[in-house]
Amino acid sequence: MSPLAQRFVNDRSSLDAAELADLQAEIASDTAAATELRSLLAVDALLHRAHAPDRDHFTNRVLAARRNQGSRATFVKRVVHARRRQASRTPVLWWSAAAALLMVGLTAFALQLNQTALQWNQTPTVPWAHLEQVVGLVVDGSGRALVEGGSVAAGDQVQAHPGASAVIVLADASRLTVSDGILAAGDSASAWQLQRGRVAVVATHQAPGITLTIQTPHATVRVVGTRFVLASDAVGTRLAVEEGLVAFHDGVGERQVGAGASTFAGPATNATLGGIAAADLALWLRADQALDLVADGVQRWPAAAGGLPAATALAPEQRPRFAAQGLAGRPALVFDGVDDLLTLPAGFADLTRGFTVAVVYADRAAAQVDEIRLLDLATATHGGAVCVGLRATLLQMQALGSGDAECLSMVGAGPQHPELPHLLVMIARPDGTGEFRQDGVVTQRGVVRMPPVVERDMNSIGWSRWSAGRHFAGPLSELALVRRPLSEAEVTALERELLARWGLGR
Amino acid sequence: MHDEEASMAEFIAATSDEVRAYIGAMGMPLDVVDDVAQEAYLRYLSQPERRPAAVPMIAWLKGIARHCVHEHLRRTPRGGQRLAELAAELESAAPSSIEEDAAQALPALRACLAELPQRHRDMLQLTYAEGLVGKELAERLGTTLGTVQVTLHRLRCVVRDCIRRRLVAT
Repeated sequence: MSPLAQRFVNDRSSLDAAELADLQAEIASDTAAATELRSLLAVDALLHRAHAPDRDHFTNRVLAARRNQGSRATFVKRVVHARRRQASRTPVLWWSAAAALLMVGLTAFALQLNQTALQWNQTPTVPWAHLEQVVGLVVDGSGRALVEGGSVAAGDQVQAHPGASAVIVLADASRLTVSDGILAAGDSASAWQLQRGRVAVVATHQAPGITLTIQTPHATVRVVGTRFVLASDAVGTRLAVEEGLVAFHDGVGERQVGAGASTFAGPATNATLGGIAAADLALWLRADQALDLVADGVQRWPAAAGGLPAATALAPEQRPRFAAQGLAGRPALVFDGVDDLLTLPAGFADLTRGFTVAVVYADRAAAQVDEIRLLDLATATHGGAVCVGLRATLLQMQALGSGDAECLSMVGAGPQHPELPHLLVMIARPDGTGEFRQDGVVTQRGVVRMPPVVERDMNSIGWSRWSAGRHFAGPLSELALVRRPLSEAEVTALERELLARWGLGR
Repeated sequence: MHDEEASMAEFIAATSDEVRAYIGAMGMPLDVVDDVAQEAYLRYLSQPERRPAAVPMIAWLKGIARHCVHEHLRRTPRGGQRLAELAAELESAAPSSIEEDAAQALPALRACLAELPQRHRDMLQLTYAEGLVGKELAERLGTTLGTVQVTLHRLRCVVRDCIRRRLVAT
């Protein structure tokens, strides 16, 4: 293939008119060259598609455009009628005094209308939108009522009062239905801010270089041609994707959320826990930070800080339920006590420097269940297991030797009202001493053995295969494992932070 | 989704790979292939009854797509006329199996990409996902423009041959 043809495939705009003519002459005189070029252009188009997953939503894009054909025509007609009504209100005095001026004005008006219609028929970069299906009281930033057909421009605010809603139709036919909240236009038609409330989005395929983004106080959603619902309140932001793929970026990082899945993001934090160095953390999960959901079920519980493991439900029935007000009015994963559990990846090998576990939970089945595990880091033989659990009204911290068949555990009295939310901290020191702390108070000191160094590959939250299959029942809001015993000052700072975060202050 | 829309979705899904590959093979810039394909489908869906019974569906769709390609190029201010003439020349060339079996070619392509060395996958990623071309791509890769152009051409040939092998095997 000629260098000219290669350049054309590499970059269609790199050839000037003379070179294009040369290339045309070249393939006109050489059938094989034409076939070769055509096949490589087809490969080029396929490579482009393979590297842009959003192009897989082409069907949705066509259907959305088809649905909107009528919508655009209706809008342009409405603008024409509105302008005519406005013109008819011109004071009568001017009729006799300035007929010529009126002609000039009408001409300018016609030009403006023409421009308006043209803008709607051009690319989806038009920086404004219009309103449809206004139900109930919907106002702008100044409190003025908004009506169907009204336009929305950069910086405008659409505020739907409780029970009210409105559909904002963008130039590219994407539809944003805001309800019970405030949606503000950014500096372009593709940048929006959901200050609070709920927005349901049906986005058409985005033109090259344009990405529809919706920002909430907790996260930013990038749209690539899809349908989803975004809801934001003081607790956090929740995204539910009905169709397509959405990129969700929050304080933890960016994740792709596909059809049928949803995700949650809480307020951004500085990603530190009680002033503990990140290198000392082995596990840190927070229910108010980031969650990947399927309906209300938690499919994946990402770590609250980078580099730490996430917990995953390996089967649909294992998913704990997400409750925005599951524990003391704050977010929690609610385990059903039947089959819910989350699995952690293999690791947690060396805990011989001691460790500290902190967990915020409520045990709703304490009186009925003999023994359950909140956190279980185990092996197939159970040798070298490290587990933190509950036994009836007792607390239990175990660290097994590699040859132990029985638990050598430190056991202490549990909370008087285990069904209520509590902060439990357990500390195991390399000198063999251990400590239980409940809600910031030391409740038990004892002896606990240091576990051997072993790769732990049967790690779970809310269940252990060594506890007769019993599952934890109740809300769990935060779980952290530190690779060393915390000092008194450190644990006090940690407890203060967690008690405040979860509203458990004494 | 209504029944009518569901059947449209099924129809588009079944034919759009081939139609888009056809438009791409006409030398259309990659960023407008889907726009032109969308226009072709909208025209077809507005009057599906216009297709003569004797004309196969895909041939009718490609005919509409060809009109849309030329309409688009007529509106292109710089070099549009030349591109239209080039597209007409390409239309007369024989289509490849990749273009005619685009629905199968795409998964085959993905499998072929997985077989490439990482540095080549990175180069294709920069080209197609990040849209880098020419000097910008060469600078990013720390090499010359000529090297980039030759390597990309060879990579496309390797990928094409791999796809063909896989299509024959299936």
